[in-house]
Amino acid sequence: MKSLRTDRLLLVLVVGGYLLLWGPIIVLGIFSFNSSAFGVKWESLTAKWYVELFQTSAIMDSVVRSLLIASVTTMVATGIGTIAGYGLFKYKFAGRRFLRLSILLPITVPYVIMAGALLVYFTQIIHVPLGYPTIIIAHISFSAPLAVFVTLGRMQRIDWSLEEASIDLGADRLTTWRKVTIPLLLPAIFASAVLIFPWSFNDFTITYFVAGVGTTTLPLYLYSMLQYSLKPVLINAISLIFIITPTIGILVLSYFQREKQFTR
Amino acid sequence: MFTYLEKKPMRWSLFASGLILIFAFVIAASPCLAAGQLKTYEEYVASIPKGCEPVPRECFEQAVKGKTFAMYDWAAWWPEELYKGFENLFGIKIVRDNYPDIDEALAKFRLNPKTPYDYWLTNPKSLHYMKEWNQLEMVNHDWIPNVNRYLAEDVKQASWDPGYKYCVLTTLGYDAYVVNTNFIDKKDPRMPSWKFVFEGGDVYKGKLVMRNEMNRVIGNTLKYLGYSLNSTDPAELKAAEEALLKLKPNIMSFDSWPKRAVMAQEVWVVEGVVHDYLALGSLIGPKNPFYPAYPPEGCLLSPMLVVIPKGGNNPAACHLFLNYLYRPENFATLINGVAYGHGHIQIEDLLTEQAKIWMTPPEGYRQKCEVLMPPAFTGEGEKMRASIWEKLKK
Repeated sequence: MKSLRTDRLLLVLVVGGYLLLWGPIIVLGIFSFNSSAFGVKWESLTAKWYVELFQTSAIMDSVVRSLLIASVTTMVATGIGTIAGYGLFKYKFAGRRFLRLSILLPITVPYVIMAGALLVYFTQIIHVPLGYPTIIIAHISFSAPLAVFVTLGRMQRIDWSLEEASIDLGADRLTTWRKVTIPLLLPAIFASAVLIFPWSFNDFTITYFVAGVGTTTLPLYLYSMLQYSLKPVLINAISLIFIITPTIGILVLSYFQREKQFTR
Repeated sequence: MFTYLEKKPMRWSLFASGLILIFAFVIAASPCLAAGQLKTYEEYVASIPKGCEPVPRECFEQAVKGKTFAMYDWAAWWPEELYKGFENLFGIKIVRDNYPDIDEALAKFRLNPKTPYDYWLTNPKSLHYMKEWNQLEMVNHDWIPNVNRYLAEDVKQASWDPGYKYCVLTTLGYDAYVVNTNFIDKKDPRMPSWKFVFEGGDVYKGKLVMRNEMNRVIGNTLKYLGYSLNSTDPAELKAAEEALLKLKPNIMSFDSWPKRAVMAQEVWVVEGVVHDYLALGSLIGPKNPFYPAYPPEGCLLSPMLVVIPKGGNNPAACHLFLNYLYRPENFATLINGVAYGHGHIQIEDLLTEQAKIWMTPPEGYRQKCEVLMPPAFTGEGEKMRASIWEKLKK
């Protein structure tokens, strides 16, 4: 009896927790189909805001830009972070502890300060014109540490005798890395990508400072639109893109992850 | 011990192909933004509507040679057809970027003086700083004959740009207040004075939203008290502080654009640019419930100005665009779209009745209003205002 009550309480807590997480998104999604321009009260069902959204070239251009930046950032930052995490875990060298801690810096310093510093660095120190490269480099510098820590976390739980066994059985380092290490690290690689893609896609602060001419991303466009647009429901529709696009990214990555599962 | 559950090879190739496809799509989509064909100067001159003038050949040829025109402005505000029309007419591709806030855009120019925009839609405060930092090109008046012809003389002599050297006015916003007539009787004897906002709490019962901008709120409070909104007199600012602290219990929130709350009619009185709220009200239904109050004491005037940053690559295109914008039919498109005040002298007949109602303050009202000037946002003036603002927001 007591157990039944506990189960019900847990169920209520779980449902409540999920509602808290998903409630605003569900409301936003539903009201993006409201014919009222302001979505304050429900009028009737319509898809006209989505039609308008897809017909507004400025919005679609910014979506494409955000996708491009997030995709490149995810690939490069995940790669760099994984290799760095592996190196920091496996190799002993002077200053390793310092390096490991200093990787945290881009995450801990307020974004606006780092963004300003990056802008000055790009334009005043190394004289790189602002544009896609600067946005991507800035995103990588902020997101690669995430991959490092995800990789380090995963590496703590790996049985490294598999790697040694591979070498003992005659495989060279490259083959061992390709056939043993990478598969062992795959969950960390995917987890990193799943974290980095939405982070890069949604970033506003850093992108704002290091963006150049013609590189307005979806978050930048949305923030500017909030000032004068008379169609908040259109903003609801755009917001759904913010949710759906990274979700699709996560689902795609999960699909690939499921291709290779590990169990202890 | 780890064991593989499946022996299927990892589909790395499929994953990589997906990403390559995304890039291919992006690269393929980019040229879709390309503009129309170039025109010769003679064709351009031949296409000029009656009553308008062309830019000089030198300006036209430089602008067209530059091929692109980099603009930095607000998203989703001005009618899109203005930009499309320019691109189609001149074959110059407009590359538009949007900022979320003018002060943030100013910070970007400060940190990177070579920010390469040919056109920046901004306000007098940014104009002041950009001039001070020597980051602005002077406007070549010989290249904007339509502006010379149609911009009102008093605006050319405006205080925000002595000598009319660095900017061209586009719109004028009146930062006063609006009331929702479903809840507030617009015949209240204190209206349209600022007295209604500062002394009418008994009527609107705390349903007041003020802008979340220090200089505007304190400036309008100074106007209520009968002072200049650029005052740096400590006694006058002290009086403004007291008035605002007395008003504080009636302020629901500080929000520069409380669209949702206004539309939900949770807010009955809102301080801000009146045209924006009248446009909002029109979406509620056939009867617009919002009534614009233009306080006889005056209010803050918000001009939006086009300036030419020095980092731009095609300043000629900016002149060409300004000249195109000031063609009466194009400027009417702008004002009919945004319903803001303006300084164009030849578009009255082209405006819709709705735009006229929304944008027109009482006769001679502009002279009672003031633009935010350096004494308010620099030095001691700024410090005193920051102190008041801190107490108000605490």
